[in-house]
Amino acid sequence: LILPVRLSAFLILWLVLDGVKPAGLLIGMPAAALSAWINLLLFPPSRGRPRLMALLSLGWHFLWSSVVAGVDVAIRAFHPRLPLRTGFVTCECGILAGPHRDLFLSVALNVFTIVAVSSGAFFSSRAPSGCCGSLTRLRACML
Amino acid sequence: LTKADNLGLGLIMLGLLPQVAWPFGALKLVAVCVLVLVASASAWRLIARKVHDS
Repeated sequence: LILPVRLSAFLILWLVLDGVKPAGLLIGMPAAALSAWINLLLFPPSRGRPRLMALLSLGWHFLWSSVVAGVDVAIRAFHPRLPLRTGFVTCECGILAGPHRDLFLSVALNVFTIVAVSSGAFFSSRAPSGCCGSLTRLRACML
Repeated sequence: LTKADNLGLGLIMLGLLPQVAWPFGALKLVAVCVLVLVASASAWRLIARKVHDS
Protein backbone atom coordinates (compact mmCIF):
# COMPACT_ATOMS: atom_id res chain seq x y z
CA LEU A 1 0.00 0.00 0.00
CA ILE A 2 2.88 2.35 0.79
CA LEU A 3 4.27 2.30 -2.77
CA PRO A 4 1.07 3.57 -4.48
CA VAL A 5 0.76 6.31 -1.85
CA ARG A 6 4.31 7.55 -2.40
CA LEU A 7 3.98 7.15 -6.17
CA SER A 8 0.84 9.30 -6.09
CA ALA A 9 2.59 11.91 -3.98
CA PHE A 10 5.49 12.19 -6.45
CA LEU A 11 3.08 12.27 -9.39
CA ILE A 12 1.11 15.10 -7.77
CA LEU A 13 4.37 16.97 -7.17
CA TRP A 14 5.23 16.55 -10.86
CA LEU A 15 1.78 17.78 -11.93
CA VAL A 16 2.09 20.81 -9.66
CA LEU A 17 5.52 21.66 -11.05
CA ASP A 18 4.92 20.91 -14.72
CA GLY A 19 1.16 21.21 -15.14
CA VAL A 20 -1.21 18.64 -16.63
CA LYS A 21 0.30 18.01 -20.06
CA PRO A 22 0.26 14.64 -21.84
CA ALA A 23 3.75 15.21 -23.24
CA GLY A 24 5.05 16.07 -19.76
CA LEU A 25 3.50 12.93 -18.30
CA LEU A 26 5.63 10.83 -20.64
CA ILE A 27 8.59 11.93 -18.56
CA GLY A 28 6.67 12.53 -15.34
CA MET A 29 5.33 9.01 -14.90
CA PRO A 30 8.72 7.25 -15.10
CA ALA A 31 10.29 10.01 -13.00
CA ALA A 32 7.63 9.61 -10.28
CA ALA A 33 8.01 5.81 -10.36
CA LEU A 34 11.79 6.05 -10.06
CA SER A 35 11.49 8.60 -7.25
CA ALA A 36 9.03 6.41 -5.34
CA TRP A 37 11.31 3.40 -5.69
CA ILE A 38 14.40 5.32 -4.48
CA ASN A 39 12.31 6.86 -1.72
CA LEU A 40 11.28 3.40 -0.51
CA LEU A 41 14.89 2.23 -0.55
CA LEU A 42 16.09 5.25 1.45
CA PHE A 43 13.09 5.56 3.77
CA PRO A 44 11.53 2.13 4.34
CA PRO A 45 8.10 2.19 6.00
CA SER A 46 8.30 2.58 9.77
CA ARG A 47 5.75 2.27 12.51
CA GLY A 48 6.35 5.80 13.75
CA ARG A 49 3.64 8.36 13.15
CA PRO A 50 4.27 12.02 12.43
CA ARG A 51 3.61 14.29 15.42
CA LEU A 52 1.62 17.21 14.08
CA MET A 53 2.25 19.59 16.97
CA ALA A 54 5.99 18.90 16.95
CA LEU A 55 6.02 19.47 13.18
CA LEU A 56 4.19 22.78 13.52
CA SER A 57 6.54 23.82 16.31
CA LEU A 58 9.58 22.99 14.16
CA GLY A 59 8.07 24.85 11.19
CA TRP A 60 7.44 27.95 13.26
CA HIS A 61 10.94 27.76 14.79
CA PHE A 62 12.43 27.41 11.29
CA LEU A 63 10.54 30.43 9.92
CA TRP A 64 11.27 32.67 12.89
CA SER A 65 14.94 31.63 13.07
CA SER A 66 15.29 32.31 9.34
CA VAL A 67 14.10 35.89 9.84
CA VAL A 68 16.33 36.46 12.88
CA ALA A 69 19.39 34.92 11.16
CA GLY A 70 18.79 36.83 7.90
CA VAL A 71 18.51 40.15 9.70
CA ASP A 72 21.66 39.31 11.68
CA VAL A 73 23.57 38.64 8.44
CA ALA A 74 22.29 41.90 6.94
CA ILE A 75 23.41 43.91 9.98
CA ARG A 76 26.87 42.32 9.92
CA ALA A 77 27.24 42.76 6.15
CA PHE A 78 26.39 46.47 6.26
CA HIS A 79 28.30 47.19 9.48
CA PRO A 80 31.37 49.37 8.75
CA ARG A 81 33.67 47.11 10.82
CA LEU A 82 32.28 43.82 9.43
CA PRO A 83 32.08 42.10 12.85
CA LEU A 84 32.65 38.56 11.64
CA ARG A 85 34.46 35.80 13.50
CA THR A 86 34.69 32.93 11.11
CA GLY A 87 35.93 29.52 12.09
CA PHE A 88 34.82 26.12 13.23
CA VAL A 89 32.87 25.72 16.43
CA THR A 90 32.33 22.25 17.84
CA CYS A 91 28.98 21.63 19.45
CA GLU A 92 27.48 18.57 21.06
CA CYS A 93 24.86 17.14 18.75
CA GLY A 94 23.17 14.61 21.01
CA ILE A 95 21.14 13.07 18.20
CA LEU A 96 22.08 9.61 16.99
CA ALA A 97 23.06 9.17 13.34
CA GLY A 98 20.10 8.61 11.08
CA PRO A 99 17.21 10.52 9.55
CA HIS A 100 16.70 12.64 12.69
CA ARG A 101 20.25 13.94 12.63
CA ASP A 102 20.11 14.46 8.86
CA LEU A 103 17.02 16.62 9.24
CA PHE A 104 18.58 18.48 12.18
CA LEU A 105 21.72 19.30 10.20
CA SER A 106 19.71 20.32 7.15
CA VAL A 107 17.52 22.71 9.14
CA ALA A 108 20.56 23.99 11.02
CA LEU A 109 22.34 24.73 7.73
CA ASN A 110 19.53 26.89 6.45
CA VAL A 111 19.14 28.75 9.70
CA PHE A 112 22.63 28.96 11.23
CA THR A 113 25.04 28.42 8.32
CA ILE A 114 26.19 25.14 9.74
CA VAL A 115 28.44 23.38 7.30
CA ALA A 116 28.20 20.33 9.43
CA VAL A 117 30.24 17.20 9.50
CA SER A 118 29.09 14.56 11.87
CA SER A 119 31.48 12.25 13.62
CA GLY A 120 30.24 10.28 16.59
CA ALA A 121 27.99 12.40 18.73
CA PHE A 122 29.67 15.66 17.79
CA PHE A 123 29.85 17.85 14.76
CA SER A 124 31.83 20.85 13.74
CA SER A 125 30.25 23.93 12.38
CA ARG A 126 31.35 27.06 10.66
CA ALA A 127 29.46 29.71 12.54
CA PRO A 128 29.95 32.52 15.05
CA SER A 129 30.71 31.35 18.56
CA GLY A 130 27.58 31.24 20.69
CA CYS A 131 25.75 29.17 18.11
CA CYS A 132 25.56 26.18 20.47
CA GLY A 133 22.71 27.82 22.38
CA SER A 134 20.75 28.26 19.15
CA LEU A 135 21.42 24.66 18.22
CA THR A 136 20.24 23.47 21.62
CA ARG A 137 16.96 25.32 21.16
CA LEU A 138 16.57 23.84 17.68
CA ARG A 139 17.33 20.38 19.03
CA ALA A 140 14.71 20.84 21.75
CA CYS A 141 12.14 21.47 19.00
CA MET A 142 13.03 18.22 17.31
CA LEU A 143 13.16 15.79 20.23
CA LEU B 1 21.84 28.28 0.13
CA THR B 2 22.50 29.59 3.61
CA LYS B 3 20.66 31.82 5.99
CA ALA B 4 20.70 35.06 3.99
CA ASP B 5 19.58 33.26 0.82
CA ASN B 6 17.03 31.34 2.85
CA LEU B 7 15.34 34.54 3.99
CA GLY B 8 15.71 36.11 0.54
CA LEU B 9 14.08 33.13 -1.13
CA GLY B 10 11.20 33.25 1.33
CA LEU B 11 10.67 36.98 0.78
CA ILE B 12 10.73 36.59 -3.02
CA MET B 13 8.16 33.83 -2.70
CA LEU B 14 5.97 35.98 -0.47
CA GLY B 15 6.19 38.82 -2.99
CA LEU B 16 5.25 36.58 -5.92
CA LEU B 17 2.42 34.72 -4.19
CA PRO B 18 -0.27 37.39 -4.77
CA GLN B 19 0.64 37.54 -8.47
CA VAL B 20 0.31 33.84 -9.35
CA ALA B 21 -2.78 31.78 -10.12
CA TRP B 22 -4.38 30.04 -7.15
CA PRO B 23 -4.02 27.35 -6.06
CA PHE B 24 -1.65 25.63 -8.49
CA GLY B 25 0.63 28.60 -9.11
CA ALA B 26 1.04 29.10 -5.37
CA LEU B 27 1.63 25.39 -4.78
CA LYS B 28 4.25 25.42 -7.50
CA LEU B 29 6.07 28.34 -5.88
CA VAL B 30 6.07 26.64 -2.48
CA ALA B 31 7.21 23.34 -4.02
CA VAL B 32 10.10 25.04 -5.84
CA CYS B 33 11.09 26.79 -2.60
CA VAL B 34 11.10 23.54 -0.62
CA LEU B 35 13.03 21.71 -3.35
CA VAL B 36 15.68 24.44 -3.40
CA LEU B 37 16.06 24.23 0.39
CA VAL B 38 16.30 20.44 0.42
CA ALA B 39 18.69 20.29 -2.54
CA SER B 40 21.00 22.95 -1.13
CA ALA B 41 21.07 21.37 2.32
CA SER B 42 21.95 17.98 0.83
CA ALA B 43 24.62 19.39 -1.51
CA TRP B 44 26.28 21.40 1.26
CA ARG B 45 26.53 18.39 3.53
CA LEU B 46 28.15 16.31 0.81
CA ILE B 47 30.66 19.08 0.04
CA ALA B 48 31.39 19.67 3.74
CA ARG B 49 31.95 15.97 4.37
CA LYS B 50 34.33 15.73 1.43
CA VAL B 51 36.30 18.80 2.54
CA HIS B 52 36.42 17.59 6.15
CA ASP B 53 37.58 14.09 5.18
CA SER B 54 40.32 15.40 2.92
